[in-house]
Amino acid sequence: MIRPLRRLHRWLIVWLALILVALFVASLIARKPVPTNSQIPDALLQGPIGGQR
Amino acid sequence: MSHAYGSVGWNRQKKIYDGVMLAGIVVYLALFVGIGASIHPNATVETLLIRGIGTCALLLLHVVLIIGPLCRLFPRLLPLLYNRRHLGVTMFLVALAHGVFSIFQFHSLGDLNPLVSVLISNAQYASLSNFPFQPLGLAALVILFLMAATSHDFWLANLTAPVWKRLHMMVYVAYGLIVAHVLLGVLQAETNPLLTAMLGIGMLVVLGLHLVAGWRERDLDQPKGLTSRADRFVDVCSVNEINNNCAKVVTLAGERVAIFKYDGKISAISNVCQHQNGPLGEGQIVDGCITCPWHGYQYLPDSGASPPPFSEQVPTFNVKVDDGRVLVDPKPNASGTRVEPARV
Repeated sequence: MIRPLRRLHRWLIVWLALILVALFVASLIARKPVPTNSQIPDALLQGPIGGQR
Repeated sequence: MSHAYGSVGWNRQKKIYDGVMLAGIVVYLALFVGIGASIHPNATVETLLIRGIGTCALLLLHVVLIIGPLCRLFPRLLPLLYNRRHLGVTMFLVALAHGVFSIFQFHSLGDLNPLVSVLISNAQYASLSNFPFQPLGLAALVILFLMAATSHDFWLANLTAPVWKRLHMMVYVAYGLIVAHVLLGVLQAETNPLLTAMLGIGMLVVLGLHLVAGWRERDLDQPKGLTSRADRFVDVCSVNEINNNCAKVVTLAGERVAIFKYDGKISAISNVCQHQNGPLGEGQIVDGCITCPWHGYQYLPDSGASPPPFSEQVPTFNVKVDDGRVLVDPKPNASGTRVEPARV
């Protein structure tokens, strides 16, 4: 691979690693508490029509 | 290697590769839906399929991404690289199926255009737990489409290798968007630690292998204290350090040069294959031609030109042998320029 591409490739990987690790940790922290109602996980699996998840 | 474009240059290896890949996808989906239905008997087939197809695409993307660094670290795995393009296009088609199925399921019953609905139905960009994760997946799908659509030697030749490479490096942006899509989407609702751990391990493997392979490549590019003589030629190694029909790769003026020994002669050409920038110096001389280890593109060692009717050319370097030492001029000649080989 020619030099500028190699450099671009390395920078992409380093930045991607930093961003994804930060996002991984932040998304775990931001998670809402697990509902205690045992019916909810199955209901969530259905996915509301027209909704986000 | 071909001098004319066909839709797919089928051969036995590609058929086996594709057969194994398609069988693996079918088995994965069958297992996912079967096991999912037994664990969650209330789940609908649509939901299981959307998730099964989505996780299948994610798994395939991880496989596509680790093949490159694995081949850099373990050259024995090079056969995996040979047909990676088919794996990438298949991964896009599976991801597309996930996207279309999800949009149909969740966004097609309202008044809005389904694609507009994906983009505007949730505007909670300030919240991580309710972040609109679906546009992230859509953006990744657009990138993967551009890559799949240009995954052909026609586009590689017409865009030129550097432009094509830059376009296909967008796969890392797509990977980031997809990981974010999963982290901020399904993993906010599905809190089973096993799912989070699987994604975390996948990320570690992909990023870890790339970082390790990149670190080793970086070492190769460091100046090795090569001495330049008054006539500009650089003493790179002893003749005996190069195995017959193989090369030694050195970095001169920041670029890698592959110095081949064959038939009692020495020639030096750029280490960068014109096809996909593969490492020519890790290939061998087969039937008198330097053969790229990635896809078998061939070049004549004295001219850096592919034998007729092919038209690929790489730069050559002036080379001479003095007292058992190989001397190379770091200034490259124009691509395809014939240089008289040095006699050992």
